Amino acid sequence: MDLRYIIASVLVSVPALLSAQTSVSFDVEDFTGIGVYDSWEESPFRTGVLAGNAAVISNFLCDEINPSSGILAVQRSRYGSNTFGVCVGLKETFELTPQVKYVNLMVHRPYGGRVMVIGLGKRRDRKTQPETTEQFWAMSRTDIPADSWQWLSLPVKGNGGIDIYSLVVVPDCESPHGYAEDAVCYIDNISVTDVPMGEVMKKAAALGHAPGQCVVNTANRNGEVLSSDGVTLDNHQVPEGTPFEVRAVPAPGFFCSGVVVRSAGGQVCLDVREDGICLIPAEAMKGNVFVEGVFVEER
Amino acid sequence: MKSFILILSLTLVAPVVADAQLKLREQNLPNPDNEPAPVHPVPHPRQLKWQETEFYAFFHYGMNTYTGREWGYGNEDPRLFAPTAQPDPRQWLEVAARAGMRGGIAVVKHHDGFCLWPTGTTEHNITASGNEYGRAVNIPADFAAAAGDLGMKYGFYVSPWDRNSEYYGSDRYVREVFLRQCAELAEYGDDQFEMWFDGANGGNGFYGGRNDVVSVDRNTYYDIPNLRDSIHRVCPDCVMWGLGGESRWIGNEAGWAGQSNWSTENRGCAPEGNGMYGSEDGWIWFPGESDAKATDRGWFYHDGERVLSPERLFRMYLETVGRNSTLILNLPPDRSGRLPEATADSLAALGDLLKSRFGNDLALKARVCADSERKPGRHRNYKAGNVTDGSKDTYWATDDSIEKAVLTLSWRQTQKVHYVELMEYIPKGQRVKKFRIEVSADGRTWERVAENVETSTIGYKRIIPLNGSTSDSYGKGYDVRKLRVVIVDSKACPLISKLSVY
Repeated sequence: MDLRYIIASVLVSVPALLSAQTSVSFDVEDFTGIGVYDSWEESPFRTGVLAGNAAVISNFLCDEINPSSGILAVQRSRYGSNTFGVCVGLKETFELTPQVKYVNLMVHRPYGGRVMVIGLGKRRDRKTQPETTEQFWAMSRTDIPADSWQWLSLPVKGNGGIDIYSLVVVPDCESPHGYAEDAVCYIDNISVTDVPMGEVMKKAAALGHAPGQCVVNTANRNGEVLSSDGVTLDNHQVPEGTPFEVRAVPAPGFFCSGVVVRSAGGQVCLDVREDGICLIPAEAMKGNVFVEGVFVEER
Repeated sequence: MKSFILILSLTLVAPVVADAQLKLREQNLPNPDNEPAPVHPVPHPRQLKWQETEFYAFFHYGMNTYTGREWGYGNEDPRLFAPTAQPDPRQWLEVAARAGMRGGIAVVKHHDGFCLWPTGTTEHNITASGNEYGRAVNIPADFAAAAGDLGMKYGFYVSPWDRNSEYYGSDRYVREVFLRQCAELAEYGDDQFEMWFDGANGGNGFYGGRNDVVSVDRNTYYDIPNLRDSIHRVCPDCVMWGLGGESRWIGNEAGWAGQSNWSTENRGCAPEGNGMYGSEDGWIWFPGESDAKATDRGWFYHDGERVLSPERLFRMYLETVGRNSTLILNLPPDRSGRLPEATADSLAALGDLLKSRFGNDLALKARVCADSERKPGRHRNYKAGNVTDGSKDTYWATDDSIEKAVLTLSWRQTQKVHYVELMEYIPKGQRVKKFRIEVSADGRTWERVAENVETSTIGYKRIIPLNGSTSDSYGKGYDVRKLRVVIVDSKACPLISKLSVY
């Protein structure tokens, strides 16, 4: 529970978080094309038996979390696989690197459960390789709630020299064999950043929060971080300037090596007790607080 | 992949459409055969072919055979590779075939970096070996040719970790050494069934004289997605094991898989230690392969080693192939480049055991019925009898809403039974979550057998020793007039392609 070290707030500032390398807002024509994609080779959407249904529409789900004007809608077909999704061609391609980058996005769909992003691209040094070669698969480790706008920030990495030309967002990464009908899922504000959830901070900052309160959010892979009394930290409001206790819950086979807290108070890396509890110091509880558990595979 | 371009071009849209909401488009697929919907994820066709290989050999042969080590440091003088006779991959595969194996994987480069073929990527290869026997051999070429002659499947182990290469740890190693070696090996036959990428990775080594410690991130360093893309262009049916991401390590080297063993896994998230079991909610088809040793020392040949008994190997078979895993059983050639006689004898005896215990399928003589059968389609039926028709393309199924069902075998005369073998029709996904087996001696009263066995998953294949023991599985057997498989829980309607009783 000791404070291990504190990096001065100037090292990680909000402007740095906002410097997305790739950004698709759907408010303007900032993509090259929209289609559906399925990794399953026998998918009727690959054989041409069925055609996909996806389009950019007005944001009729506009709320405080997502006030943008345009959003991407896709018909989740019961005939697609668990990797069926909507493919967004990127105007600004990005390079996959051994250093982790984050694909951030918002989803709003009638299903709970997992969400995946598949990166399609090619090696720069292979001229004849299709730009649609699958390069990464990043899946949320925890269930993403249904029927509201939800932010995700998925870490991706790969060998250098690979350009990603399009991103496939799989809004429902489960088998649809029991579905009686199709449904529409919505996606918005895709960005690729060097640090997670930059857009979350931007949006949350735009939202503001009650005086004397700060807003706590998390995004984790291979585990989750809850408040110490088990509450999900989804726009969770707590008193500003007051120490806040969280609990890291690793997925089976993983352990939590620490917690990173980013806020208006700077960035801090904190140790976690054996029981998963971690106390965020008062000075870090300022404004929009983003908590990320670092979950490492047990070896 | 190509279809994406087509899809994309068909569905290009204006930046923002006027409609406030996306209208659902009516989509229906005709289903004249009343086929059940797949439970995703499902296997790729190359994974199906791979899974059908079931039992195959691993041949660890190379520099370590002559140095007595398991992990060579990479500084070995190539002249130490000096076979005392002409290495004979054909004999390796003949021994494997006698044991009932359907193929083999030959190690052609271990961590020491010594290549058993005349590669253009390094001089550290058999052309610099210590005698004519060594210089005359080309293991990939000879192994592939022998497999072709014997009608067996074949593939190669090539270690990503190379303790000899001066470039290891740099991008140059991946581009100019490792990927080129894989490409060279792919040229030895486009019908390879598996390429084996060891997870052992990075650490100290010779590294061209640097005598350094190198640490790499194996998740990114070898550029697996693009290696997979390249290999599949040349060898479309070649499953890439381990780091390759198409079949998973079973999580131990002791020759057993979990009794509950899903072929689905959360690749990228699940730890290797979960390999024994897989994950019911796995997002990708990632079936398990169990690598185990038939001898009591290392993976490579060592003086004084002993081969395990046929009964011990049979147990291993039950605990791997019989638990929805494939078994790659290691048989190390000795310094003559041949398998020792003791190994050949024990493997032949194992083959005899497998034939004697699984050679007479009593289900073929039984009347088969089920309490539920799916309504037939125009060209396909789902009758209970499909489980004994010998075809892997037919199966018994229930209607969509029925996830509990009973399949019963009846004989006119009492039968002595020891094992039950079940196979799901996995092209449509792994489904069964729980089942039990019951027998009836008089045809009226039922007794549950193998109660101590975790009868949960089936998958590609499950073999249940009815006495519940894998170490003494044959036992006395049960005298039965009827036997039934009660499926208690399933992700969706169960699809059973085979039921055998021995």
